[in-house]
Amino acid sequence: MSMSDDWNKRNSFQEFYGWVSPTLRGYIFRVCGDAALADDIFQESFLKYLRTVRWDMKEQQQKAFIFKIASRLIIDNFRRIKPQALDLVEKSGENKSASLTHGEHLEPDMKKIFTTLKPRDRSLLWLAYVEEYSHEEISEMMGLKVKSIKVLLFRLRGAFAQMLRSKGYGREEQS
Amino acid sequence: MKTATCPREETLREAVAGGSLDPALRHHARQCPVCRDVLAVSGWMLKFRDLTLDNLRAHGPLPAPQELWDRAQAGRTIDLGTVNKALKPIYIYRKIAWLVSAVGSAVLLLLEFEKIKGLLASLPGLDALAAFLKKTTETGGGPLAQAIAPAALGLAAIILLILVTGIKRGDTRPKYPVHSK
Repeated sequence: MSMSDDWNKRNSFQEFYGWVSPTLRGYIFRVCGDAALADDIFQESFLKYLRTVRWDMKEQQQKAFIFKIASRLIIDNFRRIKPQALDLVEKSGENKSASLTHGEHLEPDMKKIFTTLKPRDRSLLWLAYVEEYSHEEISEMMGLKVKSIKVLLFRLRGAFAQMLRSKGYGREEQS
Repeated sequence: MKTATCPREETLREAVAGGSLDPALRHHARQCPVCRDVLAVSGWMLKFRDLTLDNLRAHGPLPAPQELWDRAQAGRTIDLGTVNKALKPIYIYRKIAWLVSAVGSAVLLLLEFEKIKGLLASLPGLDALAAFLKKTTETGGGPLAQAIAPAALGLAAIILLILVTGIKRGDTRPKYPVHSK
C-alpha cells in the first residue's frame, strides 16, 4: 500500500466517521440501553469496519455495512448476556405521564415505550423508521428473511403506534 | 399472518424524513390505517432520534477517528514482545514438566535399578554389546575403550533429547510475519 493510498483512505475514513458516527452511536445506545456497553460496541464496530471494509464501496453502502456490523455485535452481545431492562423503575411505572405537551416528557416517554421492546425489535424500528433502510437491507443486516422482516415490522409498527397513542402521542400531525 | 400494506408507505416515510409532507399525503394518511401507523411511528421515532443525539452530545465526545484508525492498523500487526509475554506461562509450565519428568525418571531408575538391569540384560542386542566390550577389553582395548562406548550412547541420547525439545519449542513460535512496532 503506497503512502498516498494510505493517506487517501485515512482522509476518506475521517469524512465517513464524521458523517456516520453520531447516528450510529445513537442507534447502538438506544438498542443497548447502556452507555458504556454502547461505547464498546461503537468502537468495536469501527475497528471491524476498518479491518474488513472495501474502500471502493459507495458511502451509503459503507454506512449500511457498519450498521450491519453494529447490529450483529449487538445481537451477539445479547445472546451472551441475558437482555436487561433499561430501567426497571421506569418499566414498573404506569401511563401517568400522558404528555400532550411533549417537550421534556417526550424523551422519557419514548424511552419507556422503547424499553418494553426486545432488543431485536428496537433495532428493527430504528433501522426502518430512523435510518429508513428497506426491508431487503434490514434483512441483510439482521440475518433474517425479508418476509420475516415484513411481518415483524408490521406487528411492531401496530403495537408501537398503539403504545404511542396510549401515551398521548397519537396525533402524528404535530411534526 | 396477513400483513396489511399500502403502496404509498415508502413515499410517506421519505416525506416524513425529508420534512415535506404535502396535504394530499397527509389526507391519505388520515384515511389509511397502514399509513396512519407509519406516520405516527416515523414522526415520533425521528424526534426520538434527535433527542437521543442531543443527549449523547452532552454525554461525552466521540473517540477521535485518528485513534480508531491507529488501533485498527495496530490490530493488523503482531508484536513479538506481546506474543512472547502471552506465551510465557506456557514456556514456564513446559520447563516445569521437563524437570518433573527428569526427576521422576531418575527416582524410578534408582528405585527399580535391579529390575531395569534385569530387563536390559534380557534384551538380545545388549548381550552382543556386552560380548563386544568384553572382547575389546581382552584384546587390549583397556578401560578407556570400555568407557567410550557407554559415553557415546549417553551422548546420542542427550542429542536426541535436545533435538526433540528444540522441535517442540519451534512449533509454538508464530509462523506468520511478525512486525515489531
